[in-house]
Amino acid sequence: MLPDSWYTDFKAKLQAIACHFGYTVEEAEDIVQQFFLDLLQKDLATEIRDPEAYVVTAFKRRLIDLHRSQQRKGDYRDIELFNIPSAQEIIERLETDEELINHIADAYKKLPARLRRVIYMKYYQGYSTEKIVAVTGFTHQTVYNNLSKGIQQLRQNLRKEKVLTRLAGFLLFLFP
Amino acid sequence: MAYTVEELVVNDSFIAFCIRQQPEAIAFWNDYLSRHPEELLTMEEARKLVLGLRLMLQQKQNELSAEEDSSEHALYVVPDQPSPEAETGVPHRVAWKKWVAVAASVTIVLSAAYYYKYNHLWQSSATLSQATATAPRSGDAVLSQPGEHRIMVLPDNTKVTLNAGSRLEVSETFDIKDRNVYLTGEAFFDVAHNKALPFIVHVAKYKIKAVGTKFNVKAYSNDRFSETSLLEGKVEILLPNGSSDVVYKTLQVNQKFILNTADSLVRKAPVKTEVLPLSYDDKHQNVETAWVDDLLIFEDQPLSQIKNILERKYRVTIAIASDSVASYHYTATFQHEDIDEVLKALQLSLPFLYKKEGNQITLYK
Repeated sequence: MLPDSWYTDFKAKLQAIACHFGYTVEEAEDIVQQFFLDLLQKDLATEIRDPEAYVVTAFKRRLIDLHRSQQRKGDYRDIELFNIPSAQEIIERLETDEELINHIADAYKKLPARLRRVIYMKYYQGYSTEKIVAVTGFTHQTVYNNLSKGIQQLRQNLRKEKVLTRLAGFLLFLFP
Repeated sequence: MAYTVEELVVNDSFIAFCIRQQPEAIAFWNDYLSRHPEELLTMEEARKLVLGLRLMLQQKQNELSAEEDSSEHALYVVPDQPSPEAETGVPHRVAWKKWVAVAASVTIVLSAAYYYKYNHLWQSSATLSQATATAPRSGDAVLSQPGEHRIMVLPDNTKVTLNAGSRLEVSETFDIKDRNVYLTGEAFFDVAHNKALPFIVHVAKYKIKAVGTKFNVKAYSNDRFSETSLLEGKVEILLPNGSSDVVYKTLQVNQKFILNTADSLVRKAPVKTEVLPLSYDDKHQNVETAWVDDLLIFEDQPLSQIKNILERKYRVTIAIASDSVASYHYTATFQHEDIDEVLKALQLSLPFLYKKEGNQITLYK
C-alpha cells in the first residue's frame, strides 16, 4: 500500500529531477504520474524507514530505464551519481559525522558576533524574524540584512574550509 | 521570481518546510518547486544549510557557556538585557515615597489610608517599561516599542537611551566618515568626545551638532513641539537654509531649543522657534530627561499633550471625548505606576471620567 501523502509530498521533487535530466515539464509530469501508478501496484515492504530516500532512489531507477529504452544521449551514470539526499539522510549524516559538525561550527565561529546572534536566535531558538525584531529592537530590515549577511558569509567560510581541511568527499555532497 | 540560497535559508516558511512543520509551508514550497523545477538544486542546498545549522547549534550547545562570551570563538553572544529593577535602581520598600501626589489648580489632601492603598497597589503591579540593551553598527536602525526603553552603545562609544515608540538609524559611514544618526521620537545622548567627527542628530526639521556632550532630543512625529535640551557641554542647532544649514543657536547648559510645528499643515506657516531654560521640579529633578529614570513628570501640561506621553509609555490609545477635559492642565510626578493609577490620581485633581476597553481608553466629562 502506498501512503497517500507520498504523492503530494514528493511529486514536485520528482518532476524537478526529471526536468534536471532534460525532460520537459509535461513529459516530467507524465513520467511521475506513471511512476506513482506503478508504485501503487507494488507490494511495498511493511515499513519503509525513509520514504523520501526510497521514492527518490526508485524514481532514479525509473529514469535510468527510460534513458536506456529511449536511447537518449548522454551517460545514464549521471543519473545514478546524482546525489540528492533525503532530509533524514542529511540529519543522519550530520548526527554521525562529528568532523562535519565541527566544520560547520568553525564556519559559524568565524562570523562577527552580531551575525552569530541572529543566526543563533533563528536556527537554535527557532525564532521567526518578527520575534527577533521584537527581542533585539532592531528594525525588520536590519535583522533581515544581518541574517542574509550571516548566511552569505557562512557559505563562503564553508567553501574555504573545504579546501583547507580537504574533507572533499562527503562535504561535496553536503555543500556543493 | 526565484529565490537565492540565502533568501531561502532565512525565510521562516522555508525553514518550516525543511523541518516539515506547517502543512501550508510544505504545500507552498512544493508548489513553488513544481512551478520552478530548475530551482531544485538551489532549494536542496538551502535545505542542507538549514538542517546543518540547526543540528550544529543543537549539538554544540554545551559550548554556549555564558562565561566564554568574551572569547573570540564563543558560539553565541548573550544579548545583554539588564533587568528592569537594575535599571530603575529604586528599591521597592521606599518606592511609595516616590509617589508624589497630583497638585494642580486644585489642592488635594491625601489621607494616610490613601497612601497605604496605593503603596499596596503599586507593589502588585509591574511597570510596563523595561530597558533592553542593543549594540547597533553602522547602517543599523533600532526601534523601541511603546512601553519600552532601549539602551544602546554606538560604535564610537556614544550611549543612547531610546524612549518608547522611537526609531534611531545609524549612518552607513558612522565612525568612519561621519557620526550621523537619524531620530524619530525621543532619545537621550551621552556623546563620546571626538572633535574630528562631530556627532549630528538629524530630526524632521533641524539638526543637532555636538562634539562630546549630554543632551535630550524629543522629536515625535505626532507631537506639536520638538525639543532639544542640553545638560552638559555644547550643542549647535542647525536649521536648513536652502541646500545648506545655518547655525541657529549654540545652546548653553540648561537651555532647551523648542521648535513649534503646530501649524505645519498650513502652507507657508512659519515654524516658530525659541530657546528656554530647562525645567526642574522641587526635588531638583530635571523634567526634560526624567523619563530616562522612568519618572513621568508633567509640569502644568494640558491633558492633550499628556495623552501622547501616556500612549507611548503604556501601549494604549487614548481618546479625549471632551474639549474642556483636553485642556485641563496638570502638574504631577509618577514613577512605576500603572495607567489606571496615573488616571485615578489625575482624576483626584481635576475630575473626569474614563472607561477602558482593552488598550482603548476614553476620557470624558
